[in-house]
Amino acid sequence: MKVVTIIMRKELYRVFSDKKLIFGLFILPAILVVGMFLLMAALASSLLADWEEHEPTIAVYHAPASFEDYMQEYASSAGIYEIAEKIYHVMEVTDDAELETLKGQIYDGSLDLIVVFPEDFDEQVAGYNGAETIPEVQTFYNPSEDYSQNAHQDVVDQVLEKYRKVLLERRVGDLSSLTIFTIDQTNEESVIQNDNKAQGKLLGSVIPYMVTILLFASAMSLGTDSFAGEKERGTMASLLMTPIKRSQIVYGKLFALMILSGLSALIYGGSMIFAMPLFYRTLGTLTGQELNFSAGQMSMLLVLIVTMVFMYVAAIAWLSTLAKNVKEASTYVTPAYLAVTVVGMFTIFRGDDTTWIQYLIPIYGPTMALKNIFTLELTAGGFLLALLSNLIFGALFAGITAKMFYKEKIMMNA
Amino acid sequence: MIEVQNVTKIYKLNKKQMEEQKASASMKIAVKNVSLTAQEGEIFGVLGPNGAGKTTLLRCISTLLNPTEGSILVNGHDTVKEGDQVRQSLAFLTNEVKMDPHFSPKYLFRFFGRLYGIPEDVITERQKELFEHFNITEFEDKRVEELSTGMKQKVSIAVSLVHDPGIVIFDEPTNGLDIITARAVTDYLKLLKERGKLVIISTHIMPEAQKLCDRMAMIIQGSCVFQGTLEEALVQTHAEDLEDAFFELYRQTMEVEA
Repeated sequence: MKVVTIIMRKELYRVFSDKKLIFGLFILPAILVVGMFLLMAALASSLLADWEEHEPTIAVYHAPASFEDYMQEYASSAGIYEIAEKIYHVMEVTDDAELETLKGQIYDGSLDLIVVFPEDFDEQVAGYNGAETIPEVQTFYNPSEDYSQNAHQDVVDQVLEKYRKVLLERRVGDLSSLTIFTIDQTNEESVIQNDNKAQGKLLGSVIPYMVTILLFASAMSLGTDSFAGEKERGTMASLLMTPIKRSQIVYGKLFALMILSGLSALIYGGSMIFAMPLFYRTLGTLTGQELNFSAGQMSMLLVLIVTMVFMYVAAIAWLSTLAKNVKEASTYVTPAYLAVTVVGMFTIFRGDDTTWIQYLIPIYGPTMALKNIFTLELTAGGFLLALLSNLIFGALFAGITAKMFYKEKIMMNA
Repeated sequence: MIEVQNVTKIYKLNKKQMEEQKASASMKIAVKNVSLTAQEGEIFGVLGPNGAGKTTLLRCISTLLNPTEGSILVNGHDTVKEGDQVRQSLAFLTNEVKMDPHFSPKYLFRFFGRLYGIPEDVITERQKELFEHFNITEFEDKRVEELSTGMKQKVSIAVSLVHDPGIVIFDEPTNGLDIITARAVTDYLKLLKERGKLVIISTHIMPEAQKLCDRMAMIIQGSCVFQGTLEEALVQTHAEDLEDAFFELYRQTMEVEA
């Protein structure tokens, strides 16, 4: 164990005595993550502000008298209406020949919405006797233009729906006679749920994916350098010339890599957890959902992450030892990284019904276990199986790597 | 003491290696049935042209490679079965065994000292002696990457000798060194011999071998064609110096091969 510690300390010293490596591994990711979220927040809020400030222009065809009456309460001056604190410019059109021109304007985004009433709308509504066709109000808008899309939604919800209710009330008198029953109108305790589980569902879908990818990504550059890099620099041979067991070199390097990758992933994850609320707060949509783990959840999470790091680091060590240099090692490790990414994405969309065999599948099982910790659905058996998967495959890769260290073809390119 | 007994080393080449080495066969015999013995208190030269198999033989003695046939005993320990004991008693210096450029000579010296299980105070003592001898003390805290080629070589030598080995194997000891550093290295090899150590060097520079080596083995195309002292080589080949003797042996071998 003493020799393993000596090797491990040397590997750690190699990183911590290099300012560039410290910056690249631990400081830059934090700056990037926080910066990225702040930038996204700034862009999103400026987009929202832009929507808020925009005053949509709407063309209304054959506006019936009842509609003009209804709109009077929103009118602030000629052709300008204020509905739900938003200013709308409304132009009334009667010439059918103009419709195609205005549709062209919708298409190119210079007009936001067209509302077309039938010419005899009021008569049709008043003369309705149950057997005739129901009058139709048509709208034309462009969903690929944000202004048009928003104007359409607002006008349909805020204006036309309310206008329809006003007309309906005129026809039937008491609207409540049309209501057979309501649902939960006075029941404020309709939602019965475990709040932790609810917020876990959201976090559980994204965080395990992030954790699994970040752990692998952090171990990748360090692992390839520690194994293939040493071979490439010719410094591995000097270690092989010492009377220590070659497996001790492998284990010393693996432990150091586990510490470094874990630390790097912690900084990544930590800065995300720090930056995400900033992001939502800027958008004004923070729902109060924050990480709130019990001691049990926390320790299961920790144990799973530590063993996961071991598995990833051992796999990277195995692939890097096969390579003669860092470049070759990167080509071997990249497919593994892609596999981790794809499997990680899989867990986002998978349900919670993980079978015990699935928990044993490397990468997938432990990532699902991480997810199920958040949703409080991880059983003791599932946890142990995921743990076992990490340990078995980690030990397998570490063992193969140690064996490879005795192969002269691999170590000395002979 | 080193006893090389009928050692043959065959490399199996994969397609890529065959292309790289422009070889037509998938096997390459690097060392062919070589036997030799080297004793404490002598400088033993392994001489031969480039590609003759010198480095392969030294790598086999140093446990970095395993012989395909035959065996090698270092102080009575088999290099394949008792590699740890063999490595404890020897140092192998070659251009391929490099010091990590990121660390300082001082750090590397202490790191390797600990790996050999040497007590801290002994490491300090050895460091003082070796660093002073090779004039490294002034640069001991600088990173290896900042040092000159000669200084790097001297650091490699000093670090490799941290455990005061009884046997020092040096592949091409003066290769790429300036005249002053080369002299410092050869002087140290003589000093090691005076202290009763066994020094084995490989070289293709015959005047250097003539000056340094007490006994020598000449390797041509993987086979040992001569083993003995300088005088014995000169008598056997009727040559005036080692270079002429080597060429005479080379000519004779080529004739037999043809």
